[in-house]
Amino acid sequence: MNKLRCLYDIRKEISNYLWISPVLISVLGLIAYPIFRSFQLSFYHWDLADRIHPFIGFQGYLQVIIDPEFREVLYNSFVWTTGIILISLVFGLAMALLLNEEFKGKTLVVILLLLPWATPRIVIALAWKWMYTSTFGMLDYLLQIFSLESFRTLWLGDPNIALYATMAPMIWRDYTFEAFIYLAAMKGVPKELYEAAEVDGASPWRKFLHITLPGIMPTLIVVNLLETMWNFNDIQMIWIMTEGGPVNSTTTLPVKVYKVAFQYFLFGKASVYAIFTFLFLIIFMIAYLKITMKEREG
Amino acid sequence: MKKPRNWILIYVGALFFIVLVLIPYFWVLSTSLKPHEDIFRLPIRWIPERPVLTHYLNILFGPENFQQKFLNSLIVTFSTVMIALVISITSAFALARFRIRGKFTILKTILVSQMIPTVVLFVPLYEVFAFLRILDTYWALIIGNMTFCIPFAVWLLRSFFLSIPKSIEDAGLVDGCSRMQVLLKIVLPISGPGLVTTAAFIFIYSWQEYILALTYLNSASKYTLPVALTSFIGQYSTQWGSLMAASVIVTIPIIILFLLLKRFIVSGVMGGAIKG
Repeated sequence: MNKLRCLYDIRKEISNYLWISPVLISVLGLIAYPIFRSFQLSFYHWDLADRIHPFIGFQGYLQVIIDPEFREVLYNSFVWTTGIILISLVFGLAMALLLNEEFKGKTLVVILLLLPWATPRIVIALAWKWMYTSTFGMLDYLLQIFSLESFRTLWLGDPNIALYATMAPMIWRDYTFEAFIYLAAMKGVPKELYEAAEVDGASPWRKFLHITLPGIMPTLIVVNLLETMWNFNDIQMIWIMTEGGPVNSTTTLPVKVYKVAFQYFLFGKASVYAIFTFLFLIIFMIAYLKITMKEREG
Repeated sequence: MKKPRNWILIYVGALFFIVLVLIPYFWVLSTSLKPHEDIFRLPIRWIPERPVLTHYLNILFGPENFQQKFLNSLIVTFSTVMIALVISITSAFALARFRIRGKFTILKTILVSQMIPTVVLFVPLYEVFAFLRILDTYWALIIGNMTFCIPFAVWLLRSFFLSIPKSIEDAGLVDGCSRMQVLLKIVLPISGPGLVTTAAFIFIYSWQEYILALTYLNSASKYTLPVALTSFIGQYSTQWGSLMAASVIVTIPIIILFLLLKRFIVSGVMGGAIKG
């Protein structure tokens, strides 16, 4: 009897794994193996054009670390990601607060404000590129209308400006999306808290600071962790607008990986950069896992 | 209860956000309807003086063979949606209902896989695709899309299956159905919204995928729409009129999908897709 039960369990166990095998195999083949392979490649001098790929150990890492370009790339990544995150956060919160009020025509406003999220990123990138175009682009013209010609510049061509210019469309797309998540969280804050505060005569600002903000904090943290990873990883916007130029001024870490891999075809060096990208993100991934999984258990 | 004091502030705020959101759309539409000379003429006319459809006709029936690109995008996107769903459904159900050893670890792995920087995968996948001789085919894009779509679909579908009351399935099991029959005959027929939402998200993801197509495709005849769009950016001059008209055409299917499935997508964005 006991033996039979055991056999039955084993059969059930195998059947369970058969059910999830399509995903296990996909994840192993499409994600685990490539990560392993990236690690492996990073220890070789692997130029796609060469026939021999000598093992160089950590030399590749050393070369990258002492390269001043590496610091520049890290700096760009940092500015780009934090800039997008912070500005989207402020705009997103403001919009969520607005949509949390009831007013006529709100449904229409909601649909309009979700449009950027449903617009292909490629179209967003191209539209902004065209707005940034000098003289005939919209931005230069607007500045001219408001007699601010002195601010006219080559938005995507000036190394001091380009990084910020590429951030704008990312923010434009992100904050509306964030706002809807914050809005959902705000709906979950108990109404009684506000009523009690009203009785005490609290100002709107104090209500926001002491009731709304703490109430949506868990959501806010999760969303911003995700946004950090998504924005850090994004190469499409930069690639379409500037391809990392002028003179590396918009080359973030992932853009660098892509450039080294598919413009110079130095797969070994690209893998070193890829591993650095991966290592930076692991911190955020662990934080994200800890928070989400705790929520799940609790 | 509520004081009507701040409605002006609300409408001013709403107007501000709407203008901020709509300006690029307006600019794109306006450009796409202007004759070439008017695009490069100052002062800028916001409303085209002489609206023309030349750019649209040029795109749809011109030498760029946009219809082919549209078809390529449709093939890749539909294949991605179908394959991702088929691969994910059984696993999502098993991870929602069965007691599996190491389930928690598997769930964690799936969650993390969505966050892996895609650039880390590009070089190894290039090698694999070269080895399989599928570079420059739709398969490279479809398989490449799977790196994101499968973990995403499993996660989203699982949360939908979790929300179905278990008693419905238990009735089936008592009647002697196998687990597969329960899934196919009882669970899937009532999971319409979950499947539609998941499919919509994958569709939107795949429709606008650009970097994979840029990296793994060589022949222009296989280009998907996003790559085809960038081919309008010339070395010296860019055909902004045609480019913007093409942008409108690429956007329309997604906007239609979005408006049709608004209810599902908004709830997905607000709940399932983010918090799992």
